Parts: sequence; C-alpha cells; structure tokens
Amino acid sequence: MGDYAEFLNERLKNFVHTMQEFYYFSTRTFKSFKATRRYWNEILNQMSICGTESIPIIFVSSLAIGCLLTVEVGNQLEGFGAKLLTGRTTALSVIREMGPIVTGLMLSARVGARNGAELGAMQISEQIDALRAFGTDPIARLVMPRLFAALVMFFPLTALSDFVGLVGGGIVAQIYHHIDPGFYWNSALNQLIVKDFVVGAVKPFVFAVIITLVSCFNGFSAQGGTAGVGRSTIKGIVVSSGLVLVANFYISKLVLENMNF
Amino acid sequence: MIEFKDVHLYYSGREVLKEISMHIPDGKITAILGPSGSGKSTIIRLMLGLIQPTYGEIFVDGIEISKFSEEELFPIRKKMGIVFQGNALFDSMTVSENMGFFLRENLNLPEHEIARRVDEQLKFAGLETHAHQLPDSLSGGMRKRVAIGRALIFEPEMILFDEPTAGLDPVSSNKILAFIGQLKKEKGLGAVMVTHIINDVFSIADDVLILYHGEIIFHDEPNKMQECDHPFVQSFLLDPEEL
Repeated sequence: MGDYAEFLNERLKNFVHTMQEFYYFSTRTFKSFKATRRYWNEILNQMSICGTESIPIIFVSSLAIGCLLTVEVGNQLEGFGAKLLTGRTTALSVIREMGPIVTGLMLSARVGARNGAELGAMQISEQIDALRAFGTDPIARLVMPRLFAALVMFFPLTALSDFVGLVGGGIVAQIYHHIDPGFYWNSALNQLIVKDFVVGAVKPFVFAVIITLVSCFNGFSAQGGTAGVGRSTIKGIVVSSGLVLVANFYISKLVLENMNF
Repeated sequence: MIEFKDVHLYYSGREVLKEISMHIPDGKITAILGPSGSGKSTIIRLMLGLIQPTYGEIFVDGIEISKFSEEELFPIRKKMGIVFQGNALFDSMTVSENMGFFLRENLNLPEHEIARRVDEQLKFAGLETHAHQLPDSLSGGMRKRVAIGRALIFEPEMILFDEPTAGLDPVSSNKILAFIGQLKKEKGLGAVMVTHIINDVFSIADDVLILYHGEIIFHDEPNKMQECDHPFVQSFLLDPEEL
C-alpha cells in the first residue's frame, strides 16, 4: 500500500511538473510572436508544409466522410419520409462537427507527427541546445513559426473540408438517393444560421494551438535516443488527438448553448 | 575566466554535482576527466547557462550568471564557443551554411562580412573544398572540424569541447587534438575539454580536473596525477581502460 501511494505521489508530481513546463513553454511561444518579422521566411515555409501539403489528405478524408454521412443520413430519413432533409442534416453535421473534427484529427496526425519527430530528432542530436548555446531562442525559431502557420492555415483547410464534404454529400444524394441537386443545396444552405458557422470557425484556431503546442512540446521533451523520438511523437499525436476531441465537444456546447442567432 | 563556487546540482532527486568549486583560467587547456555519469558534460552545460545549478554561483569574467535569463546569457555565451559530443550540426544545411548560420541569426552583419568569416574558418579547418557538402557526406573528423569552425565564428575567448575525440579513429583523434592545440598556439584560445580518455589529457591539457561521483577529487597539472593518493586516480592510472 505504501509503495502504491509513493508511486501515485511520484506520478502526480511528474504530471504537475509537466503541466508547469507546458504552461511555461506555451507562454514563451506566444511571447515570441514579436519575432514574426524576423522569421517570416520560416513561417511561409511552415505554411506550405502544414497548409498546402495537407490539401490532398484533407480532400480525400472529407470527401469520404461527406459521402458516407449522406448515405447513412439519407437511409435513416427515408424511413420517416423525410429524405429531402438529407441536405440540411448533412450540412449541419459537416459544418458544425465533421469538417472541423476530420481536419483536426488529420492535421493532428500529419502536422503533429512531423513536429514531434523533427523537433525530437533535433533535441536528441543536441541541435536545440546548439541553438541556445549560440544565442538563438529555439522557441522563437522553431515553435512560433509552426504555431503562426497553423493559425493561418487550419481555417482555410477546414473551410475546404466543409466544402468538399458538402459536395461529396451532394453527389451521393443525387446518385444514391436520387435527390435533385436543387433540393439538396436548398435544404443544405438555406437554413444554416450564424452560430452554425461560428461553431465551425472557432474550432480550427483552437485545434491549431492544441496540435502545435502539444506536438512541439513533446518533441522538445524527447530523450532516450531514436526510440525516445518515437515515443514522444506518438505521445504528441495521442494527446493532441484526445484534446482535439474534448475541445470539439466543449466548443460546440459553449457556442450552441450561448448563441441564439 | 570561469569560476564555480559551491555549486550543487540535483536531477530527479539525485545529487549530480556536489560542492563544485574551481576556477578555469583563460588561455589554458583544462581537461575534465571522469567516468561516464560523473557529471562532466553537466559542468559544460552549467558554464553556458544551458542548465542552472540548484545551489551555488557561477562566474564568467567576474559576472555571476547562474540566475540569468536566456536574453542576459547571450553576450556571455558569445564569449564561449561549444563543440557538442555529436557535433549538433544542422543536417539539412551545407558546411558553409552551418558555419554562417548563427552569424546570420544573431549579428546584423552584411553578407560579404559573413562570407569572409565563413571562408576564414573553412580555410583554418581545412575544409575549403567541402563548403557546399552536407555534413552527412563528411567523415567523423571533418564533421568535428565543421563544429569547431562553427564554434569559432563568433571569435570566442574560450571554447568548450564535449568529448572531442569520442567515436573517432586514432588518426582523426590525433588530428582533432592537434587542431585544439593549434587553436591555443595560433589564436591564444583557452579550452575546456571534457573527456574520459587519459591520452587526450596528457597530449594537450595544461590542467586536469578529475570528477568522481559528482565531486572534484583532483585539480592540478596532468603530471601531478601520479602524486594523488585517491584510490580512483591510482586505479585509473594503473588501468585507464577501467574508465
């Protein structure tokens, strides 16, 4: 019993210490936004990596989810004779939830893995220490450009995901459920209200912060050789994906409960 | 000059360094010798402010740095170049880009002045013909010389080496040691060299400091080691491979 209590105490102490370090790391990252002009080229490079290069995976996954959603929703609504509402249900699901969450999870895997592995490899090969030793702030040089790029690029990627999901849904609605495209788009777009867009628009910014900070923090904390880089990368993806799901729930709840237009 | 006063360092509940007091003069080569895990590399990291001591004071040229922020440490770090054990070169950059990287990052110098300083270091390190190669395509000894060239680019007053000959073949090791000696002779540059190889110490060190379980057990000239009666030093002199 004593050993178990000691073990728990140790784990709790480590958790609190990690949270403290993460808070310090995040604060320093936001403070280093003042170096934006200095690292503008690196920011553009990161925007290309996390934005432009992510388009194919976002396109494919959103198309698949949009199509699948329309098949399932249409089938269910058909039982109630309400098949013509397929567009509305698909649009609400895609814009409020599926678009942001698919984008968030895909970017958590793609961008999070890249950040964790690249920074982890730099950490174990002492490159991050070298930056510090020669007077360069590694957070301003390596983390801030990634966060800035994610904040700029995640929103258009989510918008793309929404659009592709709706178009995929429209195609399936016409081919599979034989719904006239005019009915589909009319039902999809006409009844959307501001809060539907707000809930979908807030999420990418929150996800950008979560994914970038968690993956970079884990990269910076890597230790124990190449196996350590693997561990920190996995941890970064798992934690950021979990937090994306939790944040998604709370943002939806907060906006939908408190906004009436 | 670097001075430690009663420096203690705890890491994960373990006392890594115990009551370290020493002073390292300019213009000399001081070797820090000790077995793995004795805290040798930790001392170098403390000198640069990469980690902070739990207790005690660290002075660089009379300035106490142990509580300095990253910004305050920059002018101190510029006085000391460091060569990491694994070189810590940026593998996506060429040799000349690696050497010029920190000049571009930290000093507002015109491009021709950066090119001049990089060329000077390339020539000194004998790497003129390798300027546009990536570090991965070079031998271990050459990579070490790139790392030394990068450390010299700020024209430091002292250079810190973490295991400079680790992983190198005997020929490359001798070349690197000769290169360190040349730095002292031609540029008057002092050095701190962390090592576990006693031949390195006798080859070039003016002073040697032996660490054992986080404590200094010897600090004097290398030829005085014979007179030290500490059992570790004696057993080590009898069988250096034991280290």
